[in-house]
Amino acid sequence: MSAEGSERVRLHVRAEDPTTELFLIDNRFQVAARGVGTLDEAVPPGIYKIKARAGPYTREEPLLLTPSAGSVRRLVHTPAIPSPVPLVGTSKTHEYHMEAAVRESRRTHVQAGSGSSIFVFVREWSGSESGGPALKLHPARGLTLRTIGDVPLVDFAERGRASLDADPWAACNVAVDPGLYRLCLELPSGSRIEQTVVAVAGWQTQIFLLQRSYGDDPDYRRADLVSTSVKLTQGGFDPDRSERLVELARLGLTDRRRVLSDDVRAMLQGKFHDPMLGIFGAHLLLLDDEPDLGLLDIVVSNLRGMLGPHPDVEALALRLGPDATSYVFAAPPMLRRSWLLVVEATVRQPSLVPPDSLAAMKAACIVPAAPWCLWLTLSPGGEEEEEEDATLAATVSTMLGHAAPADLGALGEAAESGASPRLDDETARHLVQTLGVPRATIEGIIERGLK
Amino acid sequence: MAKDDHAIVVGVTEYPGLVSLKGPENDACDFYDWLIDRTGGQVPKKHVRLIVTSKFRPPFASAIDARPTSEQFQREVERLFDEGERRLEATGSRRIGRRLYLFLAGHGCVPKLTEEQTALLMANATRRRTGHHLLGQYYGDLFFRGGYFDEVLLFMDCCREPIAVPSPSMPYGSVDDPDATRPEMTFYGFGAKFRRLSYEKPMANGQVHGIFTATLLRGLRGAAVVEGDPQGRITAGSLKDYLYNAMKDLLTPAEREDSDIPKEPKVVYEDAFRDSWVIAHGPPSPRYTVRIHVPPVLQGKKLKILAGSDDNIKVLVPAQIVPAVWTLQLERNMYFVQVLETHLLHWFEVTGSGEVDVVLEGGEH
Repeated sequence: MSAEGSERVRLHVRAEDPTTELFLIDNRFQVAARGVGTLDEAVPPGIYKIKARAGPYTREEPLLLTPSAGSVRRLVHTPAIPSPVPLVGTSKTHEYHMEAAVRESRRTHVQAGSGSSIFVFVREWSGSESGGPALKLHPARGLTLRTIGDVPLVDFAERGRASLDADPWAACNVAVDPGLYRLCLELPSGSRIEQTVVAVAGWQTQIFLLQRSYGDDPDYRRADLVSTSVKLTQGGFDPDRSERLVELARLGLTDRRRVLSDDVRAMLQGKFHDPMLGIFGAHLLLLDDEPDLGLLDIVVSNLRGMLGPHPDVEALALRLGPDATSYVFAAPPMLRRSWLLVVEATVRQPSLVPPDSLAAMKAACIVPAAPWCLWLTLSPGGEEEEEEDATLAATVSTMLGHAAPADLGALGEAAESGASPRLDDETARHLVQTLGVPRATIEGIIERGLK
Repeated sequence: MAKDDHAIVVGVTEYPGLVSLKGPENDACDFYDWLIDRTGGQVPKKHVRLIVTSKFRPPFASAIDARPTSEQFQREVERLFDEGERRLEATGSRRIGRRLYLFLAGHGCVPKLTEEQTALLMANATRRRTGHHLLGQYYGDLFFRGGYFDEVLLFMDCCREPIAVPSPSMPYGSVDDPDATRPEMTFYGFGAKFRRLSYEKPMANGQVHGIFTATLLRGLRGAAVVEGDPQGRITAGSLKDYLYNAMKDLLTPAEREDSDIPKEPKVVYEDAFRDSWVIAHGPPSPRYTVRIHVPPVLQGKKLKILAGSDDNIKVLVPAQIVPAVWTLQLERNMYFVQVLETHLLHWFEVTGSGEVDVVLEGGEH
């Protein structure tokens, strides 16, 4: 459809946001052209519609291109996206939520260290014009910050500031030492959903959450960790519309859409003011059939300069070669796609995830709800947790029996002689890719089973 | 052409261990009806296996008693495998026929361990027993890559949220296709994109249906015919385009605003066969009733209708004074109503989903 001709109309479409996917659909309902952020095409005169997509949200606009039009320019609005971040230009946002987030992100509510901070803002959105939900619940119930070794630091339902008027909100800014922490949500069932939170020297890690129901009882509303938004800033929260770009990149990654426009690629070449855009952008880059590893190298280098050692940045570096990082992933990174890069790399470098580390132990419990690397602990320490491990062990055993029965004999002999059983790389790759757990976890299961 | 086509159709409605559904059996039965219809799929009745909840006398006392389970489906799979092996012995080829249809409707998910698969949860599944499932693509690939059929069409009207499934249910080893270089004639359609929910609702006939299946059947019954094709061909490309554009037509404005309700399906096939792979035939150039509601302020003014045509725009209906409700029969296309005096242009589309009501506004554009 790109051939030039006197009867064609030059169409220039620009989306409001550079990660918006654009589709030009002709009167036969076929996609005549597509683009990300912009669409520039010479097309025959006719009746069309332009479909704009941001994550799962779409909107359509009609278009009449007359033969005499010559050249047509059109600005297309991005569909309104709901976001846990109370930003201008998103749905599910109250001004009083924005104001509270701006104000409270600049205060310190808990002093648990120094050099960095973690700001958590969790809120309800009822959709009600006035009054909010009938049942006013503290939105941070069950939400805690813990050390990576699972020592409780802050119960967000008890610390910080909260308002139960209208749609309730709760905010807490915790000064911490730079390092890794756990954000933990205890569910009504007693199970826990957790994720790693990275606190970076000189930066504030901002975590925004809406609510969701974890059961039919109205009392079972808790923070929605699956749809968390995370931002990294150095000056408190800013609700400006331009901040939507990070949210759109997150939605694109969640839905595995190739939404990296030329504009965003250009942005990745230089400096981006929220490092999360760099991390999301680098993962979106890796969705390409032939990723631009030169650009990835630049992004990783920029992110290292901004953040220092960060597990998600070091996970991205693994795509640059086995020697590109010496980082050891004792805990899962923040993003699940980062975790998948780590797991994949353990085929060649099993030591990336130490066998007895938190990452190895929780590998079988990672929730596949992209993009965050969440792990679920069923009734902590209880029988269900053991059942989860037993299920993985049974799956490994079944798959090994199908994929490489000859290996079982050799592994058995190794175990009998007291040596640690090692899979050949091909079998290890098959198991790692299928099960999504590190090589050390699989070999540990085999070792325990054979003994 | 379809005399050696086969089909396995599954609709699971009752789930004692989960929330029961209303649409899947209706969907399965409607798809079955289309398959055996002489103007539809034209598949011989004896080649179609229908596995639906009502055949197992619900309600069930508990999940453990609920049917259908994977076993009923796998029995039909193994029957076809056996047939293939018999043919291999006799002729050197496992080929059973031209085409296999797999239609699976019910609760579904994307298993944690195999994100490339979509699973239909069977009636005995519970929140803790998600291992009771069928992996659609796995079965489709087995039949295609094993050379049992030249073409495989898989349709799954179920949710595609990733959930923890303890073990991917892949009970059969794959077999080598004797002709591994043949073109990849698989058409896999899903009621929702990855991570999204499917949706069922009451339709005009009073029955509850999945919006994907309802749209699919409208398409297969003629709405997805290639525009202007005198033979009424429905190709892989025209069916995909129809599904992507028309699914939303079954939704109310409020449902369209709901981010949890799918507006588009996911369709996977080799684009090289977009125009050449004929899935079915329908009536050439079907027409649909369009009612244009003219507000009092525009009554007595001249209106004309513009339509898209090959590489241009044509005046479909010349300017004329029209009644308050102007009824026309129009083909699938995109249109503009133009009010000559005010230069108002009002866009509308006829996707083939049924009758269309166009309400004109009175202002200038």
